[in-house]
Order: sequence, then structure tokens, then C-alpha cells
Amino acid sequence: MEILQPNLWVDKYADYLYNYTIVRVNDHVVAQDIISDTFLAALKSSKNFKGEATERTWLISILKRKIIDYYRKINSKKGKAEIHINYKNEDSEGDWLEENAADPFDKTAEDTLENEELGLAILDCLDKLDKRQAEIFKLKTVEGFDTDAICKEYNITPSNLWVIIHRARKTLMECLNDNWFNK
Amino acid sequence: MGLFIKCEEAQQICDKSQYKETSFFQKIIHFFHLAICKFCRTYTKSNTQLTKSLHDSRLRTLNSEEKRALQDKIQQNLSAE
Repeated sequence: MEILQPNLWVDKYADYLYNYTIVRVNDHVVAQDIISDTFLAALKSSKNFKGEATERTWLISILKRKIIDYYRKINSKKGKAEIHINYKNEDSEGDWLEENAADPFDKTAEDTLENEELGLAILDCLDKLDKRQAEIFKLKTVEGFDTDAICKEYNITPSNLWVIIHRARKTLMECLNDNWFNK
Repeated sequence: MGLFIKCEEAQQICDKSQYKETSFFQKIIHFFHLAICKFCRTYTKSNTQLTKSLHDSRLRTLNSEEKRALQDKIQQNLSAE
């Protein structure tokens, strides 16, 4: 049974949610706002969390709704935009927009989606490292910080840093091999 | 430093070269090591693959300030309850 730990949300999920969002809204500031809204909405409805899904799955489901809300809002501002969706069969009803919202992405941007999934798989694999190692790896690899700057920030020597990078890369190689390339 | 190095060192040069932080001399001795070491050839191959995957994924992260801002918002709302 999962329980919610809002204090850890940012550390554990912020990068994951961000990568999920950024490919869909393609705007850094908007993505941050949506994630912020998602966390606050999650706090508000935390009593609805039944512990059936993982914390992350639950947050993603809220995030999806926030992304849809965002598109609704910009569409209503235009005043003219319409979304035409063909029902797949007679029985499709209810929250039809939610159900179908992902479809356009599936067809038009398979590569982007594949890359996004790869990004999320990498983040999953980074969970296998301890928090500090993962942070250092991300700073060095994703944000492209200087070796010196990271060493100063974490008070470590360059050879410490390279040992951490080596471990992180080895873990990632093995994990991606298991979970991505040979899926 | 001789021309022959241990695998440990070869792998570290390989790691550094993923970030373009190797000297010309290091590249040479790494090259020689790969010629005689299958283990490190495999390592180099998957390491290069990892760099490509990381690049292809266009993975991005929020920086520490942005994360702190999010954390603060959560904290405010937690204490408001």
C-alpha cells in the first residue's frame, strides 16, 4: 500500500513530470506552472489517493488533466479553435476529450514520443542511484556543468567526481540494456 | 605514464571522452589499449551508445532554484492545511 509523501515529490518526480510535460507544451515556463498546479491539486485531493496506483502514476494522471486544461484554455482564448475528434465507435462517450487527447501525438510525432519515452526510461534508471550520485550525474551530463563547478558545489575532488560518473554510467548502461534496448 | 594502462584507467578516459575532457595523449593511449582489450572495446561501445541515448532523449532537468521554488509552494500549502 502506497502512502503519499509530498515532501519528497520534488526530489523524486519533478524531473520526470517536467520531461513528460515539456514535450507536450514545449514551453519551459508553462511546463513549470503546470507542474506546480499539479502538485497543488494533488495536495488538495490527497484524500482521494487510494494507494492502488503508485504515487507517480497518480501524479501523472493529475498532470495529464492539467495539460488538457492548459490546451482548453489557450483554445478558448482564440475563440475559434475547434477540436474535431471522430468517435471510434458508438459507445465512446463521457470524458471523450481526455480519452482521445493523446491520439494526435501518437500519429504525428512518433519520434518525439519515442525519445520522450527514452528520456523517462533514463530517469527511471537514475532512480537506482542514490540521490546525491544522481544529482551529480544530471548536473554533469544533462545540464553540462563544469567539473570544477560541481566539485566546488559538492566539496569533492575531480577523481571523486569521475568515480561517481563512472558508476552512474555503468548503472545506466545495464539498466537501459534490460529495460529499453532489450525490452 | 607509459603507453600501457590498466582497464580502470582506460575506462576513466573513455568516460571523460564522453564529455570531451580528454587530452590528445590520453586519446592515444586509450586507442592503444582498445587495440589489445576486448573488454574495454565493449565498454567503449556501450558508453558511446549511452551518450547517444542521452542526447536523443533530449532529457532536461529543472535546476535547483526551480526545484526549490516548487518545494516552497508545496511546503506553504502543507503548512496552510
